[in-house]
Amino acid sequence: MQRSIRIPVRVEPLVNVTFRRKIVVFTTTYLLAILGFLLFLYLKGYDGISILSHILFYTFTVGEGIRSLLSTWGIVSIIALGALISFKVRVWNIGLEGQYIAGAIGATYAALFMPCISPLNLTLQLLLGFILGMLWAFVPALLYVLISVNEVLSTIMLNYVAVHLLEYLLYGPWSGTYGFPQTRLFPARFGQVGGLPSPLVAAIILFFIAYVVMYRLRIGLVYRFVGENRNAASLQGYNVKLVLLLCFLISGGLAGVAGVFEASYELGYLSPGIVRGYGFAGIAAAVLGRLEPLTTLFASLFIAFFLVGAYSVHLPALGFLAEGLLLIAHLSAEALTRYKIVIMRGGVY
Amino acid sequence: MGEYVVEVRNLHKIYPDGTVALRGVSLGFRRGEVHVVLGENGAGKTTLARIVYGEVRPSRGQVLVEGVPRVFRGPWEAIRAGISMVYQHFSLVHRFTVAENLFLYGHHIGLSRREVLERVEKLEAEYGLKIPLNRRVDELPAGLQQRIEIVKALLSEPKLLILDEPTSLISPLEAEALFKLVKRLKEDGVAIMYITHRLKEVPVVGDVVTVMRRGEVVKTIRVGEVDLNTLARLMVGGREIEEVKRPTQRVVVGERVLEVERLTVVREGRRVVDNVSFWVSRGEILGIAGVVGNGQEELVEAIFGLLKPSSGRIVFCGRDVTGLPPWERLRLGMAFLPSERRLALIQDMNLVENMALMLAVAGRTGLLVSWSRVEKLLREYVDRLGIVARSLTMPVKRLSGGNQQKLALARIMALKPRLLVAVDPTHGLDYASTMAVRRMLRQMADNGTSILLVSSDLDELLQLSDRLAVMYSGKIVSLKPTNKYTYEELGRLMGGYEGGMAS
Ligand SMILES: Nc1ncnc2c1ncn2[C@@H]1O[C@H](COP(=O)(O)OP(=O)(O)O)[C@@H](O)[C@H]1O
Ligand SMILES: [Mg+2]
Repeated sequence: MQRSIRIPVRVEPLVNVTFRRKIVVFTTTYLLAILGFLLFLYLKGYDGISILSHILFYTFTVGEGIRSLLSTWGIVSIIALGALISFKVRVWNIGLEGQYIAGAIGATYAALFMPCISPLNLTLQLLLGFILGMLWAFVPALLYVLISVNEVLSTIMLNYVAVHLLEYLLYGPWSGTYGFPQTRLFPARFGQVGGLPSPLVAAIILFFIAYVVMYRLRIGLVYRFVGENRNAASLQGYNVKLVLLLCFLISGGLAGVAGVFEASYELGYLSPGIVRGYGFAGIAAAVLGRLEPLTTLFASLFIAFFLVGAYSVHLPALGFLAEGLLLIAHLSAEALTRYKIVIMRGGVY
Repeated sequence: MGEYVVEVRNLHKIYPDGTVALRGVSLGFRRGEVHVVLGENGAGKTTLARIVYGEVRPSRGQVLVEGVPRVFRGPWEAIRAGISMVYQHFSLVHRFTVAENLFLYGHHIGLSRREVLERVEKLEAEYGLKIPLNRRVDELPAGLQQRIEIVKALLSEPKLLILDEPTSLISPLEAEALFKLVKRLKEDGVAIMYITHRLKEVPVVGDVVTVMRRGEVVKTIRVGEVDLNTLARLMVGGREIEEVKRPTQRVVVGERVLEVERLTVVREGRRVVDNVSFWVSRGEILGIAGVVGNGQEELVEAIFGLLKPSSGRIVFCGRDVTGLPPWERLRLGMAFLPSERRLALIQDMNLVENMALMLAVAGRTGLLVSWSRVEKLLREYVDRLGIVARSLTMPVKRLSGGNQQKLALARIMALKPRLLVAVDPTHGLDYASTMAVRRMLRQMADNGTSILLVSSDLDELLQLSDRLAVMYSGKIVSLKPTNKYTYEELGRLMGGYEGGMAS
C-alpha cells in the first residue's frame, strides 16, 4: 500500500556545540577540500604539489606576484564587503558580478567623457561607479522589497544583462582602434597610495568604516537587529523594508566601486577582460569569513591567493575550482557542527 | 455499549523540549458514537489526536485498535488500521485542484485515480455532498475546503475519524452543514473523535464528552447526564470562586490612556475582531481572557499597529494613532511584549546589545551608542530584578526562560512606557519566575504604567487584572471588574455559551 519513499534519517539541531567538535569538523572538511583539489589536478594529469608550490612562490616572493595579490585582495574584498552587507540581513544579492561590471562602465564613462583634472576625475569615477552599481541593484531591490520577487533569480539574471551591455559598448560606441573591443587608456588612473595598491587601501578604509558602523553606531545595531530577526524588528517598530532596500543598494554600490578599481587601477581601460568572476569570489570570501568584517577581509586574501595563483600558472579555472571546493567544505562544516544526523528506527519522536 | 474501536490507555507524552503534554490519558471510541474531547488551549487535545493518528509517539502508554495494541510508525500505518484525521489547519495543496489533491492523497494510501473517483462519487451520493473536483483549492471558501479535507479523510473508509477543532476556521453557517455531516457519518457506524474548546457544540454533536485539562482527563460522561455549567467549571479549573485570591482590588479612575472605539479587523474574509470598544486608565491592568484564536492576538496587533484595522479608532493619550506605524507608537510611549520570547529578544545578541537595541528603537540613544552607559543602566535592572546571568556579554539564548523574560521586561521598564501591551508574559516559565514576572507587572502598574494583558492563563488574569474582558469569536462578550466574575461564568463566556452583551 505504501509506495512513497521514506528516508530513515533525521537531522537534529545540536543545542550545545563543543569547541572540539568545531575544530574537528572544520579541519576535516578543509583537508578534504584540499585533497579534492589535488585529486582533480592529478586526474587531469597535472602535478598538484608542484603547481601549489609554484603558486606559493609566485604570489609571496615575486614582485609582480605580490603586487597582483595585494590589488586583487583589495578588489575582491570590496565585493566581499558588499556581499557581507546584504547577506547579513539575509538578502541574497548574487548579482555582485553584474553590479561590478556596471561600476566599471560608470568609471569608464567618467574617465573618457568627463573633465580630466586628475583628483576630480578620480572622484567622479568612484562616484559614477558607485551609482551605477547601485542602479544595477535597484530594480531587483525594489521588486524584492515591494512585492517579494526572489532576489537570487533577479540579480543573477541581471549579471548576464551587464555582460551584454559591456559587449555592446565595447564592440559599438566605445570600441577602440580597428574596432578592437577595448577603450582607449584612461587619462586619469588610480595608482599606489603609500606604496600600497589603492584598491587595498580603499578596502581597508571601507572595512574599518563598516566595522565602526556595525558595532559602534546606533544604525549598526538596528542593522544587525534586522539581520538577526526581521519579524522581531518589525514588531519593535522598525521600518525593515527600508533597511533591506538600503543594504541591497549599498551592496551593489560597493561592487560597483570594485569595478572602478579593476578598470581604472588594474587595467587602465575597459575591455571584456574585466569579467573575471570576482563577483562570485567576493561571495565566497564573505561566506568563508562568516559574514564578519575582520574575518571576511582575511578570507578575501585567501581567495585572492587562489585567483592570482591560478592566473600565474595560466589555468584561471583552477581559481574557481578552489573557490567552489572551499565553499562547499565550509558550508558543510557549518551544518555539521550545528546538526547531528540521526538514523530513525520508526516513529516520529 | 459495544466494544471500543480505538482505545488509548495511560498515555503520557513529553515533547523533546521537555513540555509535558499528556499525563496518563485513557479513553475509548465506539462505533456510531461522537466522542467530544473538550478542553482549553494547551490541554493536550491535539497531542492526543496526533498520537492516535500515529504522527507522534507516546512516551508511555498504548493505543489499541479493536483490542489489539498497535505501535504506528507514521500516519500511513494508522490510516491502514482505519484511522483518519482532519487537522486543525487545513493541509491541502493550495495551487492544486480538488481532484489533484484527492489523487495525491489516494496515491499516498494506495488508491488509483479510478478508485478515488469512484469513492468520491459514492460519498457524494450517500451524503448529498457537492465536490467541485476541477476547482483550485485556493478559490474555495473555508467551509468547502474543510469538506474536501473530510472527503479526503473518508477515502480510506476509516473506522475512526478525528476532527481537530473543525469549527475554528469556518463560519457558523458552514458549521451547521458540518454538524449534519457528522451526524450522518455517525449513523453509518463511524466512530468520531470531535475535538473542540466550544462548549456550545457539545450538546449539538456529542454523545459522550471527555473534559481534558493540563494533559489529564478530568471526566468522561454521557452528554445527556451533564449540564453546560458543570462542563464549563470542569474545563477551566473546577475551583470555587472563593479560591480566587485578589489581594488588592483597586478601582482605577485615572485619565484614559488607551481608548479603542468600534475596532474591526477583517482577515481572509472573517471578522476576527468584531466591533470592539474599551478603554484602559492610567495605572490600570485590563485583562483579556478567551480561548486562543478568538481574536485577542489580532486585537493587540492592531493596537500596536502591526495589523491594519478595517474600521474603528485607536486613541492613545488623547491622540488618534490608528494610522501610525508601530515605531511611532513606541516613541509615544506604547510598548509591546510579544508572547514569543524569540521575538521579544534577539537570541544571538548579548544582554547589553539587547538593551541598547530597545533604547535605540525608542530613540533614546545618541547616534553613537555609548556601551558603558547602556551597561550601567542594564546592571541596575539586573540587580533590581535579580536576573541571573554569568556575564552581560553572553548571548541571550544561554539564559533560562525566566531570566529572558525578566530581561525583556527590564528593557521595557527602562523606557518607562505609558502603556504596555503584554501577551502571555509568563508562558512556559517555572513557578518562581512566573511569580517574579507578575510582581514586576504589578509594580509597573503601581508606578503608573497602564497594562493591557492578554493571557491564556486564567489564574494570571484573575491575579493581576483590575478589570477583565472576555473575548469570544472576535467580540468582547463581557467586561467588568475582575472580582465580579465566577469561574463558572468565565467558563461559559469563554466557551461562547453565554454572552452577546457588550461592555
Ligand atoms: N511539537 C511540540 N513540541 C513541544 N511542545 C508541544 C508541541 N506540540 C504541543 N506542545 C505543547 O503541549 C501542550 C499541549 O498542546 P496541544 O496538544 O496542542 O493542546 P491543545 O490541542 O489542547 O490546545 C502545550 O503546552 C503545547 O505548547
Ligand atoms: Mg489543538
